[in-house]
Amino acid sequence: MLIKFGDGEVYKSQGVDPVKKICRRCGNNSRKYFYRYYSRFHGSDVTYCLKCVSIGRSDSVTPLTAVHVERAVESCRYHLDFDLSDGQKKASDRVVQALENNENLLLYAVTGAGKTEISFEAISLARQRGLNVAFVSPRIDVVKEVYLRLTAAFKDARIDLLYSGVKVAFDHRFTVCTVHQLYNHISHFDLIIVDETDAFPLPEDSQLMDAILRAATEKSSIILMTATPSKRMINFAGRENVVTLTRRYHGYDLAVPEIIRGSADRDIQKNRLPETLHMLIQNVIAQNRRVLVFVPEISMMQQLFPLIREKYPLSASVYSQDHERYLKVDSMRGDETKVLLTTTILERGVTFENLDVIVLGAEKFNTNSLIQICGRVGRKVDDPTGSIWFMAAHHTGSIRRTIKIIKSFNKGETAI
Amino acid sequence: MICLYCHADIKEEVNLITLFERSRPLCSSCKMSLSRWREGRRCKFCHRLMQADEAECADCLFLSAYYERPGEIMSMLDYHDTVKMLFHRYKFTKDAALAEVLAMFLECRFGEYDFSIPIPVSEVRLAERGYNQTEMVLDAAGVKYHDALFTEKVTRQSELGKMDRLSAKNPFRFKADFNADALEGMKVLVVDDIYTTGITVHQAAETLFSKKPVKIDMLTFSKA
Ligand SMILES: [Zn+2]
Ligand SMILES: [Zn+2]
Ligand SMILES: [Zn+2]
Repeated sequence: MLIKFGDGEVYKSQGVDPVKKICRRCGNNSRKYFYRYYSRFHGSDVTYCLKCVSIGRSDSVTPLTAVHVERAVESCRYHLDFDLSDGQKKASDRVVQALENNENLLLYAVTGAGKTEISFEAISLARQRGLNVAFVSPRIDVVKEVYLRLTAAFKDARIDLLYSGVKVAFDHRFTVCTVHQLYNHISHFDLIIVDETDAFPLPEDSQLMDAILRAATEKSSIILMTATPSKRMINFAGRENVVTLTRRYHGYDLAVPEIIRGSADRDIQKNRLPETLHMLIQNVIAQNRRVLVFVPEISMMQQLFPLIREKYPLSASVYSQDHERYLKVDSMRGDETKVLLTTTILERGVTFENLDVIVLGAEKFNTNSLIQICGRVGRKVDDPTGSIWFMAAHHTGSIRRTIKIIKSFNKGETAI
Repeated sequence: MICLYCHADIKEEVNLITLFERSRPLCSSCKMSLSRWREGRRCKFCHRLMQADEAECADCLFLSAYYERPGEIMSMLDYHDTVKMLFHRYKFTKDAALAEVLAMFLECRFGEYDFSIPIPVSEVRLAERGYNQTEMVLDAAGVKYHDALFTEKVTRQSELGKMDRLSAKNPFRFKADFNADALEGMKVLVVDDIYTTGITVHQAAETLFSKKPVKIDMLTFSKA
C-alpha cells in the first residue's frame, strides 16, 4: 500500500509487526483486531490489521511504502449563490487568521449554522499558496455531502474523494475523506478541517485522533468543527482559539424539544402501536408535514415498523447496514415517505423540508446525539422551525443538558 | 471474538444449542443483512432479477446460443450493497478473513460430485491479491477440490464487453499435472465467486465438457 510520506521510498519494512501485534499504519495494538492465516502464495503465515483494512491491507509481508507529492499552486476560486451572514463572515475571518498563524481552531457552531461554507475562504487561500488541504469527517454521509458542496462551489478545483470502497483521487492536494483515510498520509496536509468532530468513533478512538496529527505538517492548522465540543477539543485548540456561532444562517431560533413522559417499550413488545406516538404522527400528517422517528435500537425498530406501516403506508425504516438506505432517505424528500423510522444513523448530514422529529426512548440517547437530532428540524429558510418531541421513560442528564444548550444558543450564549 | 464483517464484538450467549456449535465469526445482524434477497421476479435458472417485460431471461438465452447448458446453477447470496461491499473488501482490499464469512453460507452437497473445480485466477492477479478467492472459501469450509484449470487471462472482465469476451478465445486450459481424461462419465461442479454475465463459468465448463463428464453444475457465491 502507499503512504504519502516525505521523500523516502519505504516508511516501514512491514505494515504489521506479527510478534508485537502492532499496526505501523494505524497504531492498532489490540489483539482481537489482527487476523492471521496461512498463505500458500507466500509460503508463510500472514498477519494483517482489521482496524484499517478498509483502506487497503496493512500486513506482515508487505512494506509500508511512501510516495512524495510535489506541492503545487492552484487558483482555486469558489462561488457561492448567497452571501455569508455576519456571523459566518466573522467566523470565516477567524479560520483565515488561524491559517495565517499556523494555529488550530475550534469552531463551535449551532446545527444549521452553515459551517462548511465558513471554511471556503481559508481553503481557497491555502490552495493559492500551494498548501495541501484535507476536509475530513468521521461519517461517510457527511463526507459525501461535503464533497458535493465543495465541487459545486470550487468548480475548477481537482478534489479527491476517498471513503471505504470509493476513490476519486488526483494528487492528494485537496482531499475530502473519512478520518480513516488519513492513515495513508504522513506530514502531508497543511490545513485540515474536521467536520462533525464529536461523531462516533472519533472522540472514543485516540488512534484516529493521532492519525489526524500525523497527517498534518509541522506548520499546519487543524480546524475542528462541532456543535458539541468536549473538554479535549477545547484543550486541543486552546480556549482563546474557540470561535462560536450561536445563530443559524437563516437567523431563526432553534426549536426546543417538548418532553413527553412515558415508555413505549411495553406497548411495542405487545405489538401495539403506542397511543401517544400514534397521535403525534397523526398530528404531523394532518399538517402535511413529515416526521423522523428516532429509535434507540434496531430490534425495537423492527418490532415497531410493521405497526406503523399498518396505519401509515407512506412509511419506511433505515439503519446503518440497510442497503436501501439512500433510496429510502431520498423517498423521504419526495412524497413516497412521510414517516421515517431510523437509528442514530440519520442524526447528522440529512436535511428534509417540513420536518418534525420524535425521539422514542429519549432517555437512552446521549447529548451529542440529541443535539444533532434536534438540529434536523428547521434547516431551511422556507421552513425555519418545527416540533421536536422527546418520549422519555424518565428524565436524564443528557436530556437536561440538551435543552439547556439549545436554550442558551437561542439567547446567543454558549455552554462553555 | 469479533464479527469479521462489521468488527463489532460478538457477545456469545451460551445455551444448549450454542454450546455444541462451532463459534461463528459473524454477528447476527450482519448475517441477516448478508443473507437477504431482494424482492422481485427472478430467472429460475440463473436467479437474475428480471425486467417486468422480460418473458425469458435474456442472459440465459444469450448463453444458450453459444454454450452447452449446465445441469443447474446454484447461488448462495444476492449481490446487493452489503454483499457487494463484502466482495470489494475480500477481493480488492485483501481482507482475507472474509473467506470464513463466505464459507458460512456455503451450502452445497459437494459429496454428490466426483470433482469440484474452482475457477482459477491468473498469475498476475494471484501475485496482486495473494490468494485465489474461490479456493480460499472452499479451504475455509473444508471442502476438497481439484485444481484442474489455469488461465492466462489478465484483463479484468469488467473492462471487456460481452461480445469482446465471446470473440476472445476460451482462456481456460487443463493444468499439465491434472489427469483431464479422468473426467469422462463423472459428475462435475464448477465453483466461482460472482456470477455476472455467466460467461466465465460457461467458458470453464466448455473446457471441461470436452472431456465428456455426465453432468456439470455450477455454484457461485453471489449472483450479480
Ligand atoms: Zn491498521
Ligand atoms: Zn457484524
Ligand atoms: Zn437466467
